[in-house]
Amino acid sequence: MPLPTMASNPPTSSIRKLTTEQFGEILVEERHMFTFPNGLLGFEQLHHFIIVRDERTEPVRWLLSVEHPELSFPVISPYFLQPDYAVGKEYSDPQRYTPLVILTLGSSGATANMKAPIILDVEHQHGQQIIIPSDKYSTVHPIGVQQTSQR
Amino acid sequence: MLVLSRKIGEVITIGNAITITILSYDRGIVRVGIEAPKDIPVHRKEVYDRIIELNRQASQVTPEALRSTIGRLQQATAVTKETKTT
Repeated sequence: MPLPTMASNPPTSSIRKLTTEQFGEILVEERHMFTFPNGLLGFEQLHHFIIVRDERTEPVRWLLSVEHPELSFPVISPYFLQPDYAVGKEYSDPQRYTPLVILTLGSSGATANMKAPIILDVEHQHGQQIIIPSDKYSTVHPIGVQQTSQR
Repeated sequence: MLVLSRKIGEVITIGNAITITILSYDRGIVRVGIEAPKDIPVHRKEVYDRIIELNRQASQVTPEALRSTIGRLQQATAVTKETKTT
């Protein structure tokens, strides 16, 4: 009778080493990886990401592709930019869902895509980029400069 | 491309789960009602295309380039954090 091969599969998750130009060498525990079944819009072939902290850019972090470590996306919690940000009822459980917004540097400075946040499901280590249907949020929400000049 | 003519109130079905209803037509603007399962995202194409372009731009941003522009952001968020905790 075949026995389950528990002993040969220790419960520790495996570790991968990524070499990146921007962040050097990164050791990734598989249990820290987020699976994106649909990738990101325009990057549908990327299915596994990790969040990289870089003290040069805190509180901005980096959503880095495990498959293509040369690809990373600057992300920040939308609550830093807009404390009353709301992604919608189905993702409102803060224990389970963490929204992040992607930053871009354009001709008008840094902007955040508040309309198409990334939703991390921290319970299942899943992620997806959604589009909020209402016109409430901009794809190019200006950050930093405007906020300080208002004060 | 399949081309269909429809009158106001008429419906097109796609598969067994998606329906498209022509609601109104006024001065060159067609209003369309779409019913689709939750896991099939429906978006205006220009919004979708803009997000793809923004994602592409974001993938080109380096920590060094970002650092030089977010000094002010870090100040701003420090203020936000303070007001949050009080």
